[in-house]
Amino acid sequence: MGELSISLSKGQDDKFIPYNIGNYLLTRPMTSNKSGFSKWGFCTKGGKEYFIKEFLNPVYPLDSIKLEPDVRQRKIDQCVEWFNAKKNIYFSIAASQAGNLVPPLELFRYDSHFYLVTDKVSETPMDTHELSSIDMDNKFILMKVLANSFTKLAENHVVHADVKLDNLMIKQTNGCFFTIKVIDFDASYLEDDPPVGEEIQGDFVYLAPETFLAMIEEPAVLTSKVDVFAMGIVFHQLLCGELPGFDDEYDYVYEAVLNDAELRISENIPEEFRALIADMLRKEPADRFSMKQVLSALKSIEASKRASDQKSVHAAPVAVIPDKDSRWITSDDFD
Amino acid sequence: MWICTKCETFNEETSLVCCVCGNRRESTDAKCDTTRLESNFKSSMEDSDLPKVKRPDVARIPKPARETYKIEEGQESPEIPAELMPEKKEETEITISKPKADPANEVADIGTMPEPAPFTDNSENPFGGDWRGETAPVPQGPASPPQVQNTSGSKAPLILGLAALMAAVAGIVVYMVFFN
Repeated sequence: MGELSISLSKGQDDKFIPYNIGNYLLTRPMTSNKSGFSKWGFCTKGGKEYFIKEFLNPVYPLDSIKLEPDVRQRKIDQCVEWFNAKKNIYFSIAASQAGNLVPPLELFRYDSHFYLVTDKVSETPMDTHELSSIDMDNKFILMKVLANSFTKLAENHVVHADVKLDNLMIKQTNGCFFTIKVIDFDASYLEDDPPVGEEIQGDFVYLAPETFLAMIEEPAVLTSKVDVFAMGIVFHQLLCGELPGFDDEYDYVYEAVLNDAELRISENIPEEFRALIADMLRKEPADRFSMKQVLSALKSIEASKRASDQKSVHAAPVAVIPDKDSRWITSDDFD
Repeated sequence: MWICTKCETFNEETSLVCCVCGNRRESTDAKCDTTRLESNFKSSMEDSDLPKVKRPDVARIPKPARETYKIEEGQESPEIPAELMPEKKEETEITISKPKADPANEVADIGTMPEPAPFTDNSENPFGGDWRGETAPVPQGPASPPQVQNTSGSKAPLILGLAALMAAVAGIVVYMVFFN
């Protein structure tokens, strides 16, 4: 959640008077920065700080608003339908928690608006370039954390549907390690109840080919493989700081993939990761890796890397140093 | 379950290393209460369950009350109570006296002015050469358009200028009204 929102709220803080939203005390003015259909801010309850989001839609018709009875009932029905759908998906997300999801804690109505409360994450802000320049061991941790979190979501048939760097918050943990937290489940849905046509949300940069087909109401099945495609693009950015390359005639990765055009995976990325990313960016969801396969592939890449690192230590050029007896040390001395 | 300090992943109680990052479990690693995971999420559609602490007035500006008036058939205008109608002010006639003419500011009638003498340049040629007192050559252009009879005599240029000025002012007014 960018610097802009912080600098904006600084000016407003002078005039801002904290007020209650249900059981929560809003401590800073809400902003709509980087937020399409909602406003967000921070609040406290019982001395702990939380993140709070106000949905701009639907709006509950209060008794004080004069409406025809049938119009009022229709609006209430819309609210109930929306609320129940959200409640279902949020229960499944909470059940998928493996430590690095930031799941919803409370969904409630206050006055005419609906609010969502989650834990507040102490983020370590990093841009794409900074992220790509962290060491390989930490990158392994970040990728495995993501693969593990999304494996749990897939097991509960949850599709995040808006996987992108903005929705993955880097957090520094003990011992200068980094982990990554998955946020913003606003676009999420369950595999057995996918959105249709204009209901579908998502960032075109990370959009899966089948999501676009579903948007234009072509035959397509939306599953957790949608998140695997987006994660393939995220991994590419994480490893080299750039998006995968494609012909100039296309604007987005999914367009190139749908047209069977060549995707250029950066040569700055180690070969074993290039193969993994290619498997994550397959056009057909059935041919694409699942998150579970991604996680096991990452673990085997890491294991083989460790093995080759150890081998190279054994084969290190220590042989050029003569010992006291003027005998040459060879790698055989270590076996 | 226990939480890995390195990557914050939840791990099975029986495992000694983190299933994601391979970090070895330490005695200081926090325990995770799994019974809370699923039941942690709360939802409430009922606004009445929540304490009614209203937002401060600064956050909400009350909307003014609105009244609507229907026009009945055959009526030219709705029957709006007199107290809601704007007060009618008595019309007063305003006369603007003609400003006194100042002889210093009087503009001579252009029609009565003598024709100017043909242009000659008798100044020194700064670039040298014998170039003095020549009249500017008339360019050989296309045939001039047919002359329009000037019905208003020699005052025509003044009126045309005034008309152009009024058109420009009208244009600015239209721009300000419709585009601002």
